[in-house]
Amino acid sequence: MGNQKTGTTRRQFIKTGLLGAGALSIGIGFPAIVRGKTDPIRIGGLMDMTGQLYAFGTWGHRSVEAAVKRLNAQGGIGGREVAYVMEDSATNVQTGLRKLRKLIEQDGCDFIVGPCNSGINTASAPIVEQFTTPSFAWGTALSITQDKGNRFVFRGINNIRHGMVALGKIMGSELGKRYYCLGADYEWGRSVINEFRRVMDPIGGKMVGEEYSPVGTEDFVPYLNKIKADDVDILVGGYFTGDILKLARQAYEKGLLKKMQIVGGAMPTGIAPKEFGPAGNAVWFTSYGPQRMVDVPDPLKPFNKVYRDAIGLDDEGKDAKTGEEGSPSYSWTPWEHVFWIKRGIEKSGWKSKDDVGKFIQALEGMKVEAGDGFPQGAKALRAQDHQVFTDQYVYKIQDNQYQLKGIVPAKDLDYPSEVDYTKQKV
Amino acid sequence: MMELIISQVVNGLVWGLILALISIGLTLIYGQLEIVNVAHGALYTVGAVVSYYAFASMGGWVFSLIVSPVVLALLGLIIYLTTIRFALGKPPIVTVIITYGILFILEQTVFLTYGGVPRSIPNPIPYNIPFIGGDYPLYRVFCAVFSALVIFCLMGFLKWTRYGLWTRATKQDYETAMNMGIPVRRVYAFVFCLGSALAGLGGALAAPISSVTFTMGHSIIIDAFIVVIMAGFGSVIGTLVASLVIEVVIGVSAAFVNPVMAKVIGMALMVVVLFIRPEGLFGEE
Repeated sequence: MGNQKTGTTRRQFIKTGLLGAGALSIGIGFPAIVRGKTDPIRIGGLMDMTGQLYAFGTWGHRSVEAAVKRLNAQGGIGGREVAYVMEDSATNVQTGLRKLRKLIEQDGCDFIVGPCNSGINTASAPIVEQFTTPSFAWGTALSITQDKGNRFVFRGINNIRHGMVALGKIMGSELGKRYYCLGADYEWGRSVINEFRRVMDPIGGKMVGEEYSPVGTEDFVPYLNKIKADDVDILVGGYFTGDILKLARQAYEKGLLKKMQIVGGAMPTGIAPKEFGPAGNAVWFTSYGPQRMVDVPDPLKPFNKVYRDAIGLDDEGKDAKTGEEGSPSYSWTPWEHVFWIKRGIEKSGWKSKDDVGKFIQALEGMKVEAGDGFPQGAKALRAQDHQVFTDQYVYKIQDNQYQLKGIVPAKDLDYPSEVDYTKQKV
Repeated sequence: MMELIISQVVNGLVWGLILALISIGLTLIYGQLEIVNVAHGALYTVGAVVSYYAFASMGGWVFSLIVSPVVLALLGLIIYLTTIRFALGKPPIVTVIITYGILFILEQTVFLTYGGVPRSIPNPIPYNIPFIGGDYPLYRVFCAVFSALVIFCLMGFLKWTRYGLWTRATKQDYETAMNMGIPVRRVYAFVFCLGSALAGLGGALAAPISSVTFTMGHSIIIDAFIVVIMAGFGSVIGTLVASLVIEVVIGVSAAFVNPVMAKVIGMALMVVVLFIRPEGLFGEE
């Protein structure tokens, strides 16, 4: 037996080898090409569905879901269906990163959308770079598209620098000169304070104090005790949702808001203005989009209507079914992110992850006009830092309503980029 | 600077009394049942949510001072009968896992029914009192006085009533108590209901100060555990003292350092106390 030959001739060996190689190429190589044509394009939504940013996540999820549904009803992208997989970050960095890896590694997502939490966005950047998966950030901390971003990170919403500049322009003389800063002790809270200082320093503003407290602080009075009402014109609140609500109400109850005003770094998404009670009359917010339909500029109204109807948001910015306050000033972003992906794929001819370089280059410097896919308005995605520039809104609570105080056009919000991702290799 | 320190001490005492109310519920449950009730923060949340609904449906927040503790006592009874009584005598880690599960169930139930959006209850006593060149909210003073009254009534109850005697006897030696005819299981159920009611009352009191949201129990439970550990598990008077000390120390520290560092100092204080007295300030060796 040991000496018995198998009888395989060289010709048979070559034939078998070729057949084997062919089978392997069908099994490994070709399906990638076939899959590239027929498999759905996978968008992974990392959303803050629970935790502090629940309201953002819920509406962000609705927006992506509705945008994907709309795209598929129109034949998908380049004839390919779009699939949407969502994971809950729980507004927690560790959970968010774990879910991000799952979306990329297990679910095979080609693109990532969200979340709103700036901490997760900045921590995600090295991961999406490692897996060469373009990601569309929704957080507004400046660093996301500056020193903590990279060529795989895009942001389709203005950032807090835009927000604070717009507040400064609209508030004008109401800003006063003396300000006290209180912020949440993480990426976004600090970004709000830094950018407000950047607005105030050139006009001779004087910072009276600066403090950061943990997210979810229940009692602000120990920090408000340090503020003398006569020494401060503006209290800067680098907090979101429930925390800015607590800060405003406790400042009011301490009697600080008789002359002083509060500026917030974000619209208190999901919170009805009446929740602020009498404290609301002293509160200003920078906003990334219109709250109510009446605030939408006329040329944009038809597009805004399409988007609102698709996600179940009424003209007042409330959930059409439950009547609860929605997230109209923010939730257009994940909707538009889906359409940025569409534009990038169409322009680059993206077929699979192998084409990621072409996709990124296609988006760099892209300008879009307002439309159903871009209901917030025209915008440009700057090539160097992948940052969108668009109009910024400013609101104030008056008579238990979010009252629009002004819109600052994108051209007045420009600033030089401190980075140039286009020099990074894809 | 002196004015600021006095303001911080006063606010620390006020918030310390509210925290004591919540923490006493936690320490009673551990002292009696040896259950590490991680769900206590969720009970506080439910108390605040019940308070919100009581305010919304009855038109007055004051009703919630009765409704919240009653509802939470009933909820505590259900939790005790369905889960906690099966965990009695089990290692602490088992009780942590069980109550962690209860925490999730309660929190997600609130999330699904009440929603995830923060809501507020208008200040029930919207007046300020002049205080060292500034204003201080009268409602907070009310909370402090009310909490102190409840705590002293509770101490009186434990000292002078039959159920109070049973509770103390069961805590000291449950086998002897059982042999003496004390209905130990009923005492356990009662203590769990009482602890839950105190958490609910704390939630109702804090609701108009804070904003009512399904995550509001997260930070308070950490503070409550710090207090209870520092006091020594099971000690009511120790919990009261520890609450006041911790909140005053954090408040006064916040006058000199940033808020995060002030919290760190509060934690460091707990570590120092445990280093010197591992059983806590008023704990038994």
